[in-house]
Order: sequence, then C-alpha cells, then structure tokens
Amino acid sequence: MGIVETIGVALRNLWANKLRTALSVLGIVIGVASVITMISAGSSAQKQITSDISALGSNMIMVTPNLKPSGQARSYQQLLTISLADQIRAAAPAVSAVSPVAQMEGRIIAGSSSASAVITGITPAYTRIVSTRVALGRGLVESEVDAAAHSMVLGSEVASDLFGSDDPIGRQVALAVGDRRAVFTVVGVTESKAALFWANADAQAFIPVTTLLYRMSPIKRVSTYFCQAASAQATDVAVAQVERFLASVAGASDAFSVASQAGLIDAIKQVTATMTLLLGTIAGISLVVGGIGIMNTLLTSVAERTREIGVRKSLGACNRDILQQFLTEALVLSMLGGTFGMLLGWLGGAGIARIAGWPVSVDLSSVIAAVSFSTAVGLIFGTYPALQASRMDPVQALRYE
Amino acid sequence: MINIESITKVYSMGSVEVRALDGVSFDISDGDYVSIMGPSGSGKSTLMHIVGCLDRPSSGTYRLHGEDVSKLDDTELAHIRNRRIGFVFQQFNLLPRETVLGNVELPLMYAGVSGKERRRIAEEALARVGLADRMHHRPAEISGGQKQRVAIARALVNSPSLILADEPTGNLDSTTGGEILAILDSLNAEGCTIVLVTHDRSVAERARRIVHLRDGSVERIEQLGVELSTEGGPQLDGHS
Repeated sequence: MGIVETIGVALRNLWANKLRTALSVLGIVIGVASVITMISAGSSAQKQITSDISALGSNMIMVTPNLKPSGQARSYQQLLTISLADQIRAAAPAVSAVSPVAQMEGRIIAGSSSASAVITGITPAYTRIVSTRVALGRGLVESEVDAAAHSMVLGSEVASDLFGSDDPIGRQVALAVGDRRAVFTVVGVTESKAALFWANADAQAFIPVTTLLYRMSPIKRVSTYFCQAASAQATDVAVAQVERFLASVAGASDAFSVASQAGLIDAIKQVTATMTLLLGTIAGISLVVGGIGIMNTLLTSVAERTREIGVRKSLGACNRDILQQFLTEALVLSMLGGTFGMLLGWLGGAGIARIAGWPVSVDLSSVIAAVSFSTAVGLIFGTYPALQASRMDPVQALRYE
Repeated sequence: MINIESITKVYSMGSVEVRALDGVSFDISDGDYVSIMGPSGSGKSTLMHIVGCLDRPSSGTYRLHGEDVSKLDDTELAHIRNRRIGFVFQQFNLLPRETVLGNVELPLMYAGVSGKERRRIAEEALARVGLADRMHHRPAEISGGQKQRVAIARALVNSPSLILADEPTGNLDSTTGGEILAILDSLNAEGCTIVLVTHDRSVAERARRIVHLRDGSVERIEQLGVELSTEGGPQLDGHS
C-alpha cells in the first residue's frame, strides 16, 4: 500500500476518534511545549544575565579579599589600603586602571527629605572601569580624591528621592555614616543603569574613597579593588599578574580572589546552561509521558480494530502493511503534537521572556530537538502496538467480536 | 486446481490436543462449485481457513494451481489471498469508516494498483453487483443484502480464481439470500470457482458437489448434478 493511502487511512481513523486523538496529541503538545519553553526561557535568562554583566563595565577584574584565608594568619587586612591600588597597577602591566572601592551604608539628608543609600568610595578610574555615565554635572576628579573633598555624585534614584525634579547640582546635603556626619556638595548625578544582583548603581552615592575612609569611617579598609585590563585579550594575563602580585604581598595565594568579568560571564553561562539542561530534562520527562499516552491510545485502537485487522489481512494486507498503518498513526499523532507543541512552546518562551523583561530567545536548535524527539517518541512508543497489530493471526482476528 | 491431500489441523488447548481436521482429501477443479457442509465442530471453518490461505495445515499438502501453499510464509500467503482468493463472509466484514467504494478498493490498494485505475475497477465491480448508485455511502447506510453485494464486489476486484463464501446468506432473509446466491451462480457461470461453506442444505444445493464433513474428516462427497451445466436452476430443483 502506498504512503499516501496509508496516511489517508491513518487520518480517517484518528478523525473517527477525535477526543482520544486530541487527548494523546495534547500529551505530546505539553511535552514539546514545555521543553521548548524551558530551554528558551533558560537561554533568554542567560542572554539577559550576560548582557547585564557586560554592561557592568569593560574588561573588568574584581579583586576581593577573602575573609579567612588559610596559611599565614598575619593580619593581611592591613594590606587593604588605598595605595595598594597603585601598587597593583604598577605590578601588573596588563592592567590599565585600578580603583579602590569601599562601601558603607549611609543616610543622606537634603532639607526635609532624606534617603538611605550605599555610600561608595571611589577614585575617578572607577567611572571608566564600571562604565558609569554622568547624566548631570560632572564625575569626581583626581584632585578631590587627593584632598579628600566633600563632593558627592548621586545615583539617579537617590537624586530623585532627595530632590524630585529639582536640579541637585551644587546643593548641600548632609551625610550620616554610623555616628559620623558631614556636609557634602552634590557635583553630579549618574545615568540610570540596570541593577545586577546586589549592585544597583542607582541607589548609591559616590564620594572620593579617601573622604569615605579617612573622614566618615572608623574602619580604614578598602573592600574591593576594581581593575581594568588593557584589552579583552589581555584579561587572562592581567588576572595572572594581579594574582601573582597579591600572593607575594599577602604571603598566601588564597588571600584574595581575582575574578574577571569574562570569567564571571563564563561561570554564569555554565550555571544557566546547567539549569537549562535540568529544566529541559524535566520537561523531557513529560514528553515521555506523552509517548506513553500515544502507546495507550494505539493499544486501545489495535484492540478495538482487531476485526478490521483480520479483514484487511484476509483481503491481502501483509504484516508490513498493518505495521506501517499503525506506525503511521503513531507518527501522525506525535508530529501533530510536535507542531502544536512547538507553537505553544514558542509562545510560552516568548511570554516568560516578556514578563521577566529578558530578550526573547527561542533557540532553533531547541525547536528541532523537541520536534525530532517527539517524532522519535512516536516511533518508539508506536512500534510495540504496531507490531502487536501486524502479528495478529488473521483467523483469530476475524473471529473477534 | 485445488488439491487437498491428507490435511490435518491440530490445536493444542493446554495439554489437550484437538484434531480439528483429521486427514481431509479432495480436489476441486477450475470452475467448479462446491459446498462444504457439516454440523458445528465438524471442522468446516478450519477447512475454509486453510483453503482460503488464512491458516496453514499441521500436516498434509494443499496445492493451489499446482503450487504447494501449505509451507508458505505470512507474506506469501497474504499475496495469494490478495490475488487469487476472494472472501465473502457471513458478517459482511465491511470496514465501517470507509465508503462502499473505499471498501471495494481495499484489495486493489494492497495489490498496489494506482488511484485512478483502482477507482475504475472498483466502480466496475460495484456496477456488476448493481450498486453503482451506492458508491459513496457508508456501510451503515445500506441494507444487509446490499452489504453482502459490496462484499462480493470487493471479493471480485482482483479477479480471483477462487471465491470462498462462508455462510454468505446466514445474516439475510431468504429473498435477499436468494439474490446473493444468484450472483454467486452467475459468477460461477463466468468460470469462477466457488467454495461455499454452509450448514443450510438448500443453500448447499446450489453447488455441483457437497463435501460432507464430520468430526474433522470427509464423511462423503455428494454429487448433485449429472450434467456440468451452467444452467444450474432447474437441475437443482430436481434434486431438492
């Protein structure tokens, strides 16, 4: 029997049991849709996170002191000085800029309004490394760091909390950090920037690191050093140079952790890829369940049509014709499910990305994988019922009531 | 053309062996019209399945046109059923989801005949049994007699040399049954070999010979007409 006739017979039989057909197709639809949804949501999230990290700065390397390094117990925290930044830069030729960064919780008061903010002590290099743009006024300058000046650049959120739509440039604000208070002059406001993890630049206020450490804080230690590699290619070399220098200074290799932005992106990519695989696998299980649904439908159909199989055999259908007929039904079911599931999965993936504000990313490979997987499911779960049908003894089948 | 020699068919029901056929032998020549009669359990269904190549004998040989078909595999048997044998069943056995035309096209489909040709042959066969105007109906929409005519048309399409009718009038009233038997008569008149299985003496008498089965063996073969005439009607009347 030709393939066209076989498909025609399959469609007629499936159409005759619309509800049953629809239910078993639904099983595959859900399976395929969830695989595609999960994988595309995962890859959307990955795109978003990596673009967030990229936006954080360019060729950035973060040097963070570890809290409890093993090895020498000597108070390596004494090392966390502002001048270490210059030493790092001098010791690591692949590093083009270093900014010491210190952060404290603080409260800013302007007239009758006040706002709490993360007070970040920086040097002008920071703006470049972390790619912060100034929307109003200007950024901090080197002389203000040298003089530990009371100048302040506000994050956009802090600025609007304090001044609303008024121009904050040149205004005096009071800053309270712990029990210390001082008056600062607002010199600039940063451009709004998407938050990443804990670091919401919009909710910060930037002052010279010298001012923060010497005037506002009892603890005179830098919390992080932000470095910039001379180029993207130089990042790995820069990381190695910084690590070597810090290990020699601290006398222990694990006193600091040195992480590059590229390394961070790689790590995040790995994590999200693992998550995506996990979600995709869980969704894949539902596809297998859908396959069992197809098998169940076909087994019922084979049992119901025992007599029909007998009649067809008596008219000259050979085992292969019958096998082909039921296998075609399985394939039609699973491919219908695959097609609808693909559409639904695409909508689902796009929907999740839209709700979460991620870039829409429906992977073509995930679509191909899900559809070919569903076809394979149809073949695998259709084979047993189809074999059962094809091997029926025509005499027994004809007697079946 | 049909040579059946010492055919046995043994079924094992658990530990008990049932001999459904126990050394059956007879010949049927081309163009013959033979009835197989016997009480239920005599083995007539089993014999019919073997003659129809739906089943294989446990021992003995069955030659169809000189070819020993008792040892053929499933696919070869399917091929013989398709090309050389036409079945007419008591239950009609039409596929309910297919139209009348679709049912008649089935054997042609399995023979690999292309769509247009298939339709032409099927239409011809339906016209032959007087159902040209019912082609696009479903089996549920036509009467029992019409269903059996469709079944005969379906049995005819591949121009088989043997038509096997298993109680073809069993589900029909006597008038309709008579019409069906008349069609079989005329097919036989055209040279088609017919084997008719029945337990009804008056139906069996349409044939030239009756093979009487009892307990899996041929009890006797009854000759019904002296002349091998194609005008069966008056002759049979004389014997009833």
